[in-house]
Amino acid sequence: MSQTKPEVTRIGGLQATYDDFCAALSTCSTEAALADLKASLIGGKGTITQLMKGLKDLPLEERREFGVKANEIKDLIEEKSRTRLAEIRRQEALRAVEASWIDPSLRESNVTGGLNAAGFHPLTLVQREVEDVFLGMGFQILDGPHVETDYYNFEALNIPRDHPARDMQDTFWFPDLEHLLRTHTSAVQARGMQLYRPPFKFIAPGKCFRCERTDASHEMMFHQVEGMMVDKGVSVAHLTYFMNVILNHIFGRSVKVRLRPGFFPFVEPGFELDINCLICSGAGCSVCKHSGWVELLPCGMIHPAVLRTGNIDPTEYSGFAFGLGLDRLLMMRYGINDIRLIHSSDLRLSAQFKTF
Amino acid sequence: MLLSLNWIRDFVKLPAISEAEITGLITLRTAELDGVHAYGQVLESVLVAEVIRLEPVKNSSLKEAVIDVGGGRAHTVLCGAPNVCVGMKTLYAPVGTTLPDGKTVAVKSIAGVESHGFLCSEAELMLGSDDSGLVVLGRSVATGTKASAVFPDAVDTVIEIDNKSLTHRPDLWCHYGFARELATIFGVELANPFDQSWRQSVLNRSIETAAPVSVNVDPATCCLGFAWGSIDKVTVSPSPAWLRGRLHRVGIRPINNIVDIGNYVMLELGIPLHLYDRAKIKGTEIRVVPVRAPMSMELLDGSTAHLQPTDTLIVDEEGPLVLAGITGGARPAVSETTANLLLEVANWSASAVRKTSLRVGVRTESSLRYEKSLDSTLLNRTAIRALDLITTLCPESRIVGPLGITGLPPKQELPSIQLSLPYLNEILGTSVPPQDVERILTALGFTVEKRGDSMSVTVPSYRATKDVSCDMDLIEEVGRMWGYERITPMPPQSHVVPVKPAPLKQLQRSIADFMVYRGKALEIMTYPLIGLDLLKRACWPMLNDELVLQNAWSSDFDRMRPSLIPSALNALALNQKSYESFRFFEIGRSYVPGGDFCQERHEVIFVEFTREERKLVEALTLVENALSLTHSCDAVLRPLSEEGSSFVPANWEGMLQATAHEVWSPRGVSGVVFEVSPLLLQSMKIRGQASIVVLSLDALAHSVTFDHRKFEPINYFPSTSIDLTVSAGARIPVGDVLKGLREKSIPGVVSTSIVSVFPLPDDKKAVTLRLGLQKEGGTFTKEELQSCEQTTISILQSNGFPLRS
Repeated sequence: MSQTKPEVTRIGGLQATYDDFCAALSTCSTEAALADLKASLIGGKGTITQLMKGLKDLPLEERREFGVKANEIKDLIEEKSRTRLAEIRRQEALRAVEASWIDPSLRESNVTGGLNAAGFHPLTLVQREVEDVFLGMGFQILDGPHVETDYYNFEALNIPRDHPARDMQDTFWFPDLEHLLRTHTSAVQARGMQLYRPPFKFIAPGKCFRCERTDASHEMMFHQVEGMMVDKGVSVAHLTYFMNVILNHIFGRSVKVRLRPGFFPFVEPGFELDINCLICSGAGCSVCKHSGWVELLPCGMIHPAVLRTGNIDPTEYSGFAFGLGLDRLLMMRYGINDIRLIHSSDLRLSAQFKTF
Repeated sequence: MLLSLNWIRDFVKLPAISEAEITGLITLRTAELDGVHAYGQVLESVLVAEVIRLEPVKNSSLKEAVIDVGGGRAHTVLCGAPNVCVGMKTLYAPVGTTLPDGKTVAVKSIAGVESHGFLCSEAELMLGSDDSGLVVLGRSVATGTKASAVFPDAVDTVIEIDNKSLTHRPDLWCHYGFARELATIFGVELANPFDQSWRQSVLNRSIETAAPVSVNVDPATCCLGFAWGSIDKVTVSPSPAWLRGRLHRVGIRPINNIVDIGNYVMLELGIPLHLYDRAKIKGTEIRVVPVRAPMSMELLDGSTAHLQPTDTLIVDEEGPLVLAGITGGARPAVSETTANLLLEVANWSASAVRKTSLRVGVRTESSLRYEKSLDSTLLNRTAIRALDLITTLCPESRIVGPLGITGLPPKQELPSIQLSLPYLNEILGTSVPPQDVERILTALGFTVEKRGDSMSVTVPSYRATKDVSCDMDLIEEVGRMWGYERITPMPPQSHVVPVKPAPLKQLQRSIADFMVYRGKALEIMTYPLIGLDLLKRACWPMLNDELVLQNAWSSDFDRMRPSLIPSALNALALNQKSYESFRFFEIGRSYVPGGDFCQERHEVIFVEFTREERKLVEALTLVENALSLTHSCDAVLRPLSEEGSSFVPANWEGMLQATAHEVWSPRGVSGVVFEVSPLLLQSMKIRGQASIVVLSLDALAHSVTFDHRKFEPINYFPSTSIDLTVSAGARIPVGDVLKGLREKSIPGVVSTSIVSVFPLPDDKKAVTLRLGLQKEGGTFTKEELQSCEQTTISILQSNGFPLRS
């Protein structure tokens, strides 16, 4: 019996070593300490390694018994170490996060400094919306030069040199009296007819210029959307249909429209299109001068002379044209009280319409 | 233009509906209204009174008047009018009357006398413009009568027509013209008091003798007809109340009966006329002549007009009497002593009158009408109407000699237009019954002859001068009178064609999106017009003198801007007062002389402003991203060439030269990036740093149209990398280090980039590069890797970037 004692002690030592390891493992709080602990058992000079080195002198039976046990314990140590390591790493990561705490409220919106807003000019917002409605209905989008010729701005629109209708538009002229700043996007009509053969429909949004003193509701530069549709059999009923659809879209509600006579030399019949006052819903208020109607846009059937200018036979084709003012639409929508703000370049305007 | 509904009622019986309904229908059927003004409600409260007794009031210029207002009632009122006298009949406003100016009459106490109401002048009741004394009534008017019964015409509604909506209607510049519209609107008859028997009855008031004045019209003038007549023994005096009242209500100041008749007839029938004092005409012939050589003429209002050979004058032996179609001279004007008159009713070519009027800067009621192309066949009627009124208001006056007319253009047949009813309904998109078409056109004065489903329509002379010339014009007449509100909106049946905006339009949208979402910028708009002041403040050397406006209203906006940059600098200067830092962009145009006249360049400008930090690198990166957005794969950023470009002139002081870059491709320069020079910032009082990007959208739109991208199979073999550290001059851009490597393609090297840069002594720096390596179809051997590394090192070495040990 006395002979076996040391062997029992050897196996018992193995178990005790493992128990010590388990106790030490829970106090191991760094990767390095864990590595040291592991090395002290199963490293080159580790306790278990040493114990295993002494095995070769033992009988085969005991050697096997001890070997099995030792391997079991080694595996356990490995596994526990891995678990502990993962735990330590998790703890370390949490500690690191904890140590580098970020103030989540230090966002741009809470911090003083510059203007960090980005977004479109409100006129662009309105213009895109209008463009998209027309694009969706198959209208092409065109544009023309701001510095126009008398021909495109007047002559081609049935407004010859001495026509009193020229008085309706305070024109900015260049000294040659041949070039001018376009007074309306209708100047794109003849250009459009040079580009397309009927049937066609297009809009032409853009800047226009009038030589007039500015105040809160008058500006020397403003924005219009010209529209034109030419096909066989186009009628006033089609014009009112398109205007209805478009205005319902733009105003986001059902809008009543009415046509009344209006004179523009490039349309015949010519109309002023009114919408029912959206402020009082037609009951009468100061905005609509108690009439229940607000003048919104001029339109009409394209004058045969204008079609002929575009080499379109008016006996074969007819069409309608209209001109929608964007600035007033914009001002109505957002309650902007001074038209001069549109070109003011003031970021205090643009920032109110920021995208983010 | 102001129109009296009472005056219109002289010719048409308006239905018994509210005046709001009448004016509403005028808006829907004929022309836009600028306003409606009611006159004479006060006359319902005002009474005829007789002054019974007058006492002076102590310490006052006023008098205490006891008045009889009929029915045995008397009142005491205070009165300061110079013409008040015992026994006069005048108008009395009782306490409680609301006056036209909105005030209500109350009991007033002055100098211890209580005034119960007051006696009125014409002006106070808006009966006319005379405020010099009390209204004087005839003895026969009964006291206590309502003033509205004494002046029934003064209870009136005046409508204000928007002149612009009548530009095309020569026939509507008068009451008779509007009476015709209203007769058509309401389907009632239009009276024609100006018929043959009327003409004859007026002309019967003439003395048969030779005409005292003869007229000669030079055919080289713009005259389209000249009617004239003479009247003797007129008495110039104030017009009667009805005439003064009507003129007053339609905005014309009454002067005397003769001048007032001239105005009245023009406002009634739409043709201007002149009445001259015949005693002031030299000789017995007046002539219509062209101006032969530049000259000046004194006008009725005392101003001087400078005339040119294109203008037309009416002259006598002594010289100019009238500037044709526009205004008279001072010399032949009617005065209080005038006894014998010459009447002239002429027509002039619209464009000639308009040219002269615009040039001499005089626009009158006459020129306004002549500009619309008047109808010469109406001259005779107008002349007779004037003779009618003069001989009626001056009963002792006589027409002397025949009514002459000359200078008429050759008589032309009235135009006849074929109107197809199916076409009319196709254009209107509705179906108007043929009888309605006929009724409307006939009421408007057209002569209609039915032929199957079309009509032969003869245009009346007063619509034929310019206004109505084709079937579309007739369709408008029918449409508006039938009622546009009766047309039901209908979708068209048409071809479906897919649409896609043009490349430039697409680019404008995507670049705006890019500037918002990537550039984090706000969009602004600035004026395309600019002035010398801003150009000079921005030190901009190109002043666009070729693109200066003829009629700018401000020197700050008198020319097209040559660049977006000065406008942006101005916006920067403005906004830095509000914000510490910001980014903004504008999509706009710059304008340069060239092509036929002016070339418009579509551009985008981006500005980043901060107080301290320089943002050049961010701006350059933004441009690289923009080039990628637009598929401009052959475009590169490189230092700005010394010649400058179309974006910035060479040596522009506003640019920090060392920071300036251009976007270059084989097609040319399509953009610039730079920092604004501190000197310019200082002079524009901008405290901070600003980087600016300008890109040509015209150039980039070109690239967008062609998407060059092509897929390359992904190499799934593992890649590796080698880091190398070289030394370089402290101010050599690291880009130069990379450039040498990228130009020579080293087999296996798929990417080169900078890992880190750190400064070294002696104006040097260490640059650590990373080579990305990947082999097609496999992995590198150790030898291959070494060869790559060696090749790279020797290229770097030969470029002047030795390897650091």
